[in-house]
Amino acid sequence: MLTDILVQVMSGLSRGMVLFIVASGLTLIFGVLRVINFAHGSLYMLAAYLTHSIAMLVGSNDLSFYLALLIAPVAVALLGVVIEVTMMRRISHRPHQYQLILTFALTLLIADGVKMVWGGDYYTVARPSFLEGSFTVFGQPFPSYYGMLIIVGFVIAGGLLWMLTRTRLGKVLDAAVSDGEMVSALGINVPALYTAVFAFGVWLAGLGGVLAAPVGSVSLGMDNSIIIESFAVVIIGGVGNVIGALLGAIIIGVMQSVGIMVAPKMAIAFIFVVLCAVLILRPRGLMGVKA
Amino acid sequence: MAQASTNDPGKVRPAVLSGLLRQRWSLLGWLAFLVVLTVVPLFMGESYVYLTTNFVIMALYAVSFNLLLGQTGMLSFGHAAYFGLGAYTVALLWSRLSIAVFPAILLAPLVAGVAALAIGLFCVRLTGMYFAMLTLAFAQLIFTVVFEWYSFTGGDNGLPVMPPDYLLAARRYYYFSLVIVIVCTALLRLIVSSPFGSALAAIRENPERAAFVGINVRLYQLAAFVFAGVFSGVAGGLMAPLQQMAFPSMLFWTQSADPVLMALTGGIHSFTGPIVGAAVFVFLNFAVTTVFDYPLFAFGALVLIVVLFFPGGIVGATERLLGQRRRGPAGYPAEAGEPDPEAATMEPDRSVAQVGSNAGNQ
Repeated sequence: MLTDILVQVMSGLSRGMVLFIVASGLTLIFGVLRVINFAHGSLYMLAAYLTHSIAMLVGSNDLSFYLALLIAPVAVALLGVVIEVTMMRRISHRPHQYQLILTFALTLLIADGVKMVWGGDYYTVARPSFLEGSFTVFGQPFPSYYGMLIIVGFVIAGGLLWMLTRTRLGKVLDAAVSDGEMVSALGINVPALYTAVFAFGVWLAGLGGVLAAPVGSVSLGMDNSIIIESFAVVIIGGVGNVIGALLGAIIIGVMQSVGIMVAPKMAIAFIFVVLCAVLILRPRGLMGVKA
Repeated sequence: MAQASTNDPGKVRPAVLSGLLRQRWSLLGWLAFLVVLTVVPLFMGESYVYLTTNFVIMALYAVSFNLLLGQTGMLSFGHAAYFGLGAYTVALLWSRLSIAVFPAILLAPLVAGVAALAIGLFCVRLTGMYFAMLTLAFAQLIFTVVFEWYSFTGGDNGLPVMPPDYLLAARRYYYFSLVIVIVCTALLRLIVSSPFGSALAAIRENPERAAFVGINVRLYQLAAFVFAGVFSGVAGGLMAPLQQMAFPSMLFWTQSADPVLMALTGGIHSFTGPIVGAAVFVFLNFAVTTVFDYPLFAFGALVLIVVLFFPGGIVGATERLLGQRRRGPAGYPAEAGEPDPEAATMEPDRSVAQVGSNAGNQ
C-alpha cells in the first residue's frame, strides 16, 4: 500500500514537471510584463501538434523527437515575438483586462486554427526508443519516460534559478520589474527585454508541449486544461516566483495523482480547493512577498 | 466642461438643451429598440425566434456582468458560476421537485445571489488579477462539483427542464423572456444611475479617493458583485428552459469569458455596449456557423481587432465617429478618457513612463 502511494507520488511528480515547465514560462511573463497570457496553453498545444507533424514528416521516432525538441519550441517562441511586438505592445498602456482579452482572443484563433490544419482527430506520438521501457522503483515498474520528465523538470528549475539569481540578466530583469524607467536610463533597451522574456516564456510552453505529446494524446482541448492548471500553479506559488511555481506544480501534480486513488471523482476539485485556500489565506502565493 | 459653461451664461442654455435633447433621443432609441424586439419576432420563423431569445438572455448576462467591469472596474473571470447556478436552480427544481419553470425562475436569482455573496466576501478582499483568478477558481470549483455529482446534477449528461405547455412555443417563451429581461435591464439601469452607481464609478476611477470621501469600498464592491450575480442568475434561469437542459458547460470558464467578450466588443463604457456586444456575439456566431465551420476563428479575429483598434468597443467607436464625447449621467467615463489610438500609433515603442506604470500596477 505504501509503495503504491510512493509510485503514485512519483507519477504525480512527472505530471507536475510538465506543468512546471509550462507554468514557469507563464510566471516569468506574469512577473516581468504583468501580462496574463491566456494564449500560453494554446502555444503549448500548438507545439504538441507540431511534434506530431514532425514525426509524420521525418518518420523515424528518435530523430523526429529530437528535431521536435529543437524546432517546435523555437517556432512557437517566434510566434510569441510576433504577438508581443505587433499586439501586446500596442495596448501595454491600457488596463490589464485588455491584454487578458487580447490573449483570450488569440486562444480562440489558435484553437480553431489548429482544428483547420490538423482536424479534430486524436494523435499519439511515440516516445524515443531508449525511453520506451520502464525501470523498477519500490518494487514496481515505472515508465522511463516519466523518470526523464522528472529529471528534465528539476534541471530546468535549476537552470532558471541560476539565470535569475546568479547572472547579470537576472539582475537586470529584477531591476526592470521594480523600476523600468531607471533601467532604461542606464541604457538597457527595456522593450526588447520584454519581448525576449515573452519569447522565452512561450519557448518554455512549447517545450512543455513537446514533452507532453508522447505522454497522453495530442488533441483539441489540451489548451483549456493546461492553462487553468498553469494559472493555479502560478497563483499558488506566487506570481513571478520560479521556486513557487515548482512547488505549486509538484503540489498539484501529486495531489491529482494521489487524489485519483483516494477520491477519483473529486481529484480535479482538489486543485481549486487548494487554489481558493491559498488566495484567501496567502493572496500573494506560498512563496510570494508582500508588494 | 461644466465649469466652462457656468462661466459663460450664454452657453448654459445650449448645453442644457442638448443634454435634454440627447436624453430624449436616447429614450426614443430605447423605445424604438423595444418596438423592434416586440414586433419583429412576430414575423420570424421559429429558429430565428429561438436565436433572438438567446440574444435577449445573453444581453442581460452581459449587462449584469458590466456592472462589475464597466461600472466598478472589477474584472470577474468566474461569472459563469452565477449564470450556471441560475440555470441549475431552475433545472433542479423541475427535475427533482417538479416545480414549474415560472415560479422556479424566481428562485434562480436568489440562489445565484447567495452564492455571489458567499464567494464575493472572499473575492473583494483582492484586486486586479488576483481578484480575477479567485473568481475563476471558485467558478471552476462549482463547475467540478456539478460535473462530478452525477446522482444530483446528472453530471455531464446535463439535467432536463421543460417549460410548461403555455410557454413551450418558441414565440411564447420569447415574450416571457423579453418581459423578464426588460424588467431586469431597467432595474440595472436604475442601479447604474443611482447614487450607489455613482459611488461604484468613483471606486472604479480611484478606490483610495473613494474611501477618503467615506465610501466603504469593499462593501460597495461586494454589493455590486451580488447584484451582478443576481441578474446573471436570472439570465441562466431563462437559458436552461430555452435549451430544455442545464449543462455543466454553462458553469465552465469559457462561459465566464463570454460576457467579458460581449462587454468589451460592444464597449464597457456605456450601458448599451454589452447589449450591442451580445447581439454581435449571438447573431454573428449564428451567421458564421451557417457558412463556415470555424466560428471561434471569426469571433477571435473580431475581438482582436476591437481590442487592438477600438478600445471603446463598437459603441465607443460609433460615438467617436459621430463626435459625441459624452460623460453621461450614468457615470461612465467619457470616451476621451481612453488613450487616443492615433497617439498610440505615433509612438510604436513602449515609452519609459509606460513601463514604469505598467510594472507598478498589479
